[in-house]
Amino acid sequence: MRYSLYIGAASNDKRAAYAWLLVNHVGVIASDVYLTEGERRFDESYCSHIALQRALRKVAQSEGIVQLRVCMDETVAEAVGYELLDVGQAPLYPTLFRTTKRILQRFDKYELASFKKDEKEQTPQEVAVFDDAIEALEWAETLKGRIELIKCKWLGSTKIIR
Amino acid sequence: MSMEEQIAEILTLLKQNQPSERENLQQQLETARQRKDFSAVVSLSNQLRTLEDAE
Repeated sequence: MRYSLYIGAASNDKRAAYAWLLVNHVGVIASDVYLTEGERRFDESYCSHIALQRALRKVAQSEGIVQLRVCMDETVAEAVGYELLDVGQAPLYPTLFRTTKRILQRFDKYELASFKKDEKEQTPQEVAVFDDAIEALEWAETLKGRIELIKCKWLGSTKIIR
Repeated sequence: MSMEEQIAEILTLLKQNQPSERENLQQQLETARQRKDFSAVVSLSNQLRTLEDAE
């Protein structure tokens, strides 16, 4: 079955958020958001690889033979997209790069694509990904969000990229 | 050397000096990368891969 994975990022002065959305012809199958923490919270290459790997592992749980189209926003495409295309750009994190490549091999077929946040004619999925990331950043600023984040950090939650 | 032979030689020389399809694609790919046009890079790298497979 053909699936599309939309992945994008947003950031403020404190952290970044990576959101993804998995869709097929029926509609949205799954979605999630990760917040970044720690020294590498603004390291786009590192965080993009981790976010993409987690998303791809979720996609791999889908039923049947998966043919996947990975649509990345410009942040993720710039950080990892060119590396994954093997067009001469040396990976910044070779181990992470190899892991991402290996996970992509789990699918029957995959293709890479990109979208821009500032384009006029965005699809609902592209808008949703960016909006989910913004929402997560706003949530992290609330009292409840801050408490949850501390909890997540202590528990080593996969909602956090560190 | 006859006129036909001279023309054939000139054409051969011109052909030799023309960049190959592969070089053309690689050049376009580099330009697309510099422009940060991801879609174009995807398309050109696919074309390059197809060409390499055919070779």
